[in-house]
Amino acid sequence: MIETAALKQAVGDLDEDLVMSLLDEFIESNPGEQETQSVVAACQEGMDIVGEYFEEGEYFVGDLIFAGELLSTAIDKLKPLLGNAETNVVGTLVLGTVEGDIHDIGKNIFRSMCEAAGFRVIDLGIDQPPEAFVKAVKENKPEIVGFSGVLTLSIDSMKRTCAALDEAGVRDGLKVTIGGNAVSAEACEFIGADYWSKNAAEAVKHCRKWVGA
Amino acid sequence: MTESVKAKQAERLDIRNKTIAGEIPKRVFIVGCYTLDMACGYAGVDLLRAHYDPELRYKAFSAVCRDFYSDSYPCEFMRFTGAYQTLGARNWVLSSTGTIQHPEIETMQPEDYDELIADPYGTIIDKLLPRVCSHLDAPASRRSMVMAKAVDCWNRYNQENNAMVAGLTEQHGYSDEFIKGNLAVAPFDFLADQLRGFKSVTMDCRRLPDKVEAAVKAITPLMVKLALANGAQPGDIALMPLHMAPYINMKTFERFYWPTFEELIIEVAKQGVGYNLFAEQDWTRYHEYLSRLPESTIIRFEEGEMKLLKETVGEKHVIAGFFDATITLTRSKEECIDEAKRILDTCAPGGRFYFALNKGIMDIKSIDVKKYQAVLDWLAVNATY
Repeated sequence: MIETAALKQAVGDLDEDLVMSLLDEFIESNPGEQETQSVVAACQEGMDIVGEYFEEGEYFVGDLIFAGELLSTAIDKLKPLLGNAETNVVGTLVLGTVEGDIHDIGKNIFRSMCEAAGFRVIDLGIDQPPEAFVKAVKENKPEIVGFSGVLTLSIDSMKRTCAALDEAGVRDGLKVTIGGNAVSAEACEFIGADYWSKNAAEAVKHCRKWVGA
Repeated sequence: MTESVKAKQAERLDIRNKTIAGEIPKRVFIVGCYTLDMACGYAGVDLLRAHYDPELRYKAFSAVCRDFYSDSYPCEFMRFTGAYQTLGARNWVLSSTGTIQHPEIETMQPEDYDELIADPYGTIIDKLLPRVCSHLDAPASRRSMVMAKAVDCWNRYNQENNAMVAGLTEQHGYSDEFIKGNLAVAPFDFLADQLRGFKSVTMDCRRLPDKVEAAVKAITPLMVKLALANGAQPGDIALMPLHMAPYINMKTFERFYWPTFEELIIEVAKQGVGYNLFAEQDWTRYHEYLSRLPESTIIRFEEGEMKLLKETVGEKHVIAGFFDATITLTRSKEECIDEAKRILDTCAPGGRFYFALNKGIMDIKSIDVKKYQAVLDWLAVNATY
């Protein structure tokens, strides 16, 4: 029987060796689907600890990248034990780096954290024009759309993308969150977004609130 | 150059030199920082064409020099697109809107560490460079041709740019900049940005720590050579944009970033060459480390706790930065001037400070031109001691 509190803390501490040995022991015990779901949840809760350490200034972006990788590896290891059980999708999010900007590290951190939190993520990639976001929103009917950008030029692109969503008539009920080095409270207001953050873990928490998860 | 422009230039040079020497100049030196993208946007020049046409670049940069106050040449153009494209480079590429950017690349695999540690120069030249530059991944004769063409292309860009800078400097009476010399790179940043990639290097620090440590040590002598290349002279100031430190935790910084960074700075300082460091993002937590660097290192901060940095780092070094020009989009003209005043009030007392943007303006649409010009004009008159 796995100690889920210890696993959660090991994920939070980014102790890869301990996480993997706890999971190996768990897998050897031939667990059922329900038990495995609780272990997946413990891993996901470990990400809350990572977010807290980030907020406290103990962890930084490099640690978040490692946390995302650790969580993906852990969940991939557990997947075969989940059989055909439906994974609980809490919401859908369309995500992309806006036009003119080709940076994707922050976007990818946010994507892996959203996926770990149970979102279905449609990742459009980098340097995406407003029309690509509009098309993806029309096709996927997400609750949330996320714009990522590092360069200051991305502020104008985000504003144009927001305006394009308005013009296309798909903004009602759709929340817009922005992230990356270029964003700020003032930029958020200027762009017309609903939320901004440079802390991916905080942004994920906010997205979960939006969808009532 | 007319007598009045000559006098203006002499005055600016005096202010610059006093700022570096830690003396109190008559007023604060003001430095603009504008990219080709911003200049083209301002002058109505096609950005993509300007990458390849020196006359269009002149049209764009001369308009910026004419209309935006600065005490030194304010335009930045150092990524020579044609040369990168000749090499088939993957580390500097154009986005769909024509902005040249550095994407995340993974040139080197974990299994290449041992070879890099044993022979860093040979491994970079023979194995890694052809992976970054696809046109160098060819038989020797063709590779030599590609390299010769790229060097020729680079030299042409460089000559055209130097001529433009000299002409605009003479026309506007600019002083020397706070940069005069080579581009330098911190060893850990080189490993992260050019060899392993941001993501992979952060993984390696946890999974392959001994190899990362050995690799940054192995490439440090190459980074020293790079900083001193092209016959660097005592009095030169090498530009070193710093990247990875704000994104890693303190333990990682202390083991992998700082030791070789400090070694690089000290080795280069022995030759009389100083540094202009651009501290990307927030370096506040490293203020004690920065205070250890040789006196009068120039450090431009993107963000951070300004007062603390002035009181610690600014005691010994020349500091600049903090002003985010994008605030002109959302604040009134008076509020933007107040922000410039707040920076002056905190950083100017005691000298060792010049006014500069927290980063180069990349896009004309990221500022309100009139409000931004009003800030510069206010500074030119009021930033006195």
